[in-house]
Amino acid sequence: MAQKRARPRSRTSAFARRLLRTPIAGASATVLVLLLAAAAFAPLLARYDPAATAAGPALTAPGGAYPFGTDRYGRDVFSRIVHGARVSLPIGLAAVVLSTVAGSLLGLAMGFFGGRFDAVGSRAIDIMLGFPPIMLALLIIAVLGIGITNVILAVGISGTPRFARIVRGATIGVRENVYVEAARALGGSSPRVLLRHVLPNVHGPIIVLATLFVGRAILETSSLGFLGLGVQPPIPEWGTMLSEGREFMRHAPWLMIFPGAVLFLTVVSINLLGDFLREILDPRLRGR
Amino acid sequence: MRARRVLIVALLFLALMVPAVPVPVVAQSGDSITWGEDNDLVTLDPRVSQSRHEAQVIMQMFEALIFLDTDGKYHPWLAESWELAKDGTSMTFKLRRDVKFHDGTPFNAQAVKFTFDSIQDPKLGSQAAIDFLGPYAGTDIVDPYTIRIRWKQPYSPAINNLSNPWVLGIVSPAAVQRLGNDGFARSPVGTGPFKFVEWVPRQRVVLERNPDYKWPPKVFRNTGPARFSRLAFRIIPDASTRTAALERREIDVMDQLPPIEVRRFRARPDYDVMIGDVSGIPYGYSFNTSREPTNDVRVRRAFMHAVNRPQVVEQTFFGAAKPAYGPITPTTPGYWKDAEQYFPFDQAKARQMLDEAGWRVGPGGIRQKDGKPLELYFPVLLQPELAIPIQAQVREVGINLKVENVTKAKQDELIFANDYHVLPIRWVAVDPAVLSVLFQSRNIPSPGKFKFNWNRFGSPELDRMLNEADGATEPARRARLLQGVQKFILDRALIFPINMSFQPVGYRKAVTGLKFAQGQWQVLFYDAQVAR
Repeated sequence: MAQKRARPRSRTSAFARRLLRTPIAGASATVLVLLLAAAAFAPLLARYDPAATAAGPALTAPGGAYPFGTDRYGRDVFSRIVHGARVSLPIGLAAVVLSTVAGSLLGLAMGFFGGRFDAVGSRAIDIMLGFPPIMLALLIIAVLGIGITNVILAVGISGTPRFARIVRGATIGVRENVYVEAARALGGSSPRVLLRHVLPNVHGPIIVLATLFVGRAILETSSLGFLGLGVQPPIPEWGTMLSEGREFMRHAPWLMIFPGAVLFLTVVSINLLGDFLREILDPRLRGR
Repeated sequence: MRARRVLIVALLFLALMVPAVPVPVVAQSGDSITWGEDNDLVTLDPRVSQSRHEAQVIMQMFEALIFLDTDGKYHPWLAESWELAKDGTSMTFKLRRDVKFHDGTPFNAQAVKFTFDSIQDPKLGSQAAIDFLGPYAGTDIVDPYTIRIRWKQPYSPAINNLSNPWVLGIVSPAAVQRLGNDGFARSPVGTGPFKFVEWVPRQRVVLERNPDYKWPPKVFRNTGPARFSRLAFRIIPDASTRTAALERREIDVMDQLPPIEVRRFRARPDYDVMIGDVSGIPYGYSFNTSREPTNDVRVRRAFMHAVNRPQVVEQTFFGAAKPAYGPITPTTPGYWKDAEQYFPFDQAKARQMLDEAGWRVGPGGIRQKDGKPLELYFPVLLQPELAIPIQAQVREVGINLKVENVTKAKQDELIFANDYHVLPIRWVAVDPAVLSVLFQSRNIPSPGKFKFNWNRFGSPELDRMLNEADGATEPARRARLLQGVQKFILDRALIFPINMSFQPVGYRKAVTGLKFAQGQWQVLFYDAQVAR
């Protein structure tokens, strides 16, 4: 037992050391820390209320008092992007938490119990994976309606099958191990065996997938916003800002460039960090 | 080596495919004009259509008995003269004798009777024309070139409605009999200056000049056949694509030029823009008078005083639209000018009204009463871009306008469920009788009954006033009654008129002689010319 607990700790410190030694991962982590700081200190960073129309003249080019320019209503784009981090990031994270928890539980149960439950569950997951995730999200929005909670649900549910599929596979591999059999033989109840003995041994792929998924969830949230199905005005959200800027692409390109660039940086950083995590946590890649 | 061979084969294959891709060639001789249209079409039968986009095509092919110009004047068209009976229940028309349909059959009293009678047939599925005929009782053929149209009761919109070629245009009875209603809708036959050639759904409609045409109303300079031979309508729904097509000269004229492009195109030497101030009900917000808190007239009035209409409209539409103040636009007959005195921008007054109504400023500046915040649910489908500055301005007086962008399906669901406080509406119409559509209590929607009285103000008094105005065939009396209706609506703040619907038409300067039709949405091409 003691040995098991010690292993993750040493892994954590090794992780930190490797992160600092890898420039790309270090840069990605820095970008993300900056973004999170921007989200946390948004009211201090932003000079204007993100919803205030006529903060400046409409469609002012970037520079001076408006580093990212203003939109058609004279709202400050920089303030909106900074405040938008408080919307886009938490929604993306919440959706990932939903996908991770729901998908992992489902995958664990299917892999562990097998039989008819697994057969039915696996077919259901096959069907869900048959849809592109954004279509699934659109379908869910169509049923539930528009709103922040529904966006989280839509993005979260549309990501669930991928988690379930991978966790199921990993669980099947772990299920047959001697220590699981031992735990069962000692009279451990199914939930106890699952959570204390199986889950700790499949958490690697879950963490990697979850990290990679944050980027996608943010992107999907923004896609819904772009289609007008996400966050409602006057709340600033990066995808909605992109959509609002589309009409002015040739007159005020900064309305698309800045939200687009921030979205891009966020997603790329998260994905690079996810790749880095995968390298560390995937036993097959470790030591290469 | 192998990879390179595969590559070469693949490239050759691609090269072979190129000529196989059809390239749409648009004739760019001076003999053709192409219009870029923002909306797809379903029917080209005026008796069936209810779409102002279909009207853009229909109006070039069909003609009405009377021509109504954009100044509100009537001119003889298919009818040489007309007379209203003293009791207001019938009109007699003397028809032109020299008119022929595109299929060569003669236009006469029988064709007019056939058109109007067939609209009454439920099998046709008329969407607008049947309403435009009102309490129609029948058409009598007095002689081959004289008809009398009868109504069950006096019907004042008759003269405007009979001037509307995209709804009450006269169709060729022989063609309808030959093609059937569905066939006619796809291959229409009228008497107008252009005749039908082809229609490729979702892509284009092509018309050609009617070489026999010589019976235009006097408002046009031209008196014979059109001065160019081919008129095409291309369906390009996306506004920026349409704008790019105009710049590349793939099209010559386009509707719904994005407001921000208006100044740029006006500044160019080779392009210009004309903007139609569309008649009917302006774009505005219907207040739901059946639900708290918009059932309180003080809340509705405060909302209207809180918004700086000229500023918001100017900013949102880059100067292309005009603010609106009355329930009908100044381009609609019977407009009451005093409407412009109502609800000037005055936030101090708005705050005072809300104070009097018991709404006190609460946390975050949003007003409260009995612990409930002053929150108005606003599902928006039309002109969502206007919602953002208005949301910001009403917030300054303590109203939280909860904006939600909705789909048409969701909007309709909310209408059936009576679940909204504010709802945007507009109605493009030529006759002020359109007020009944929005304000008659019989037009309050209910589950399964889609109607347009979204303010849900059911008042026998207003119903009576509207009925009286619709039955007043004497113009001066009708105008007086309509003023009363408009005053009643504004006094009770049932609707917040915001901007006149506008139709910015961008065109190449090489094209001259474009003319707005009645209502100022569609453009008539009969007088047009293209420089060679």
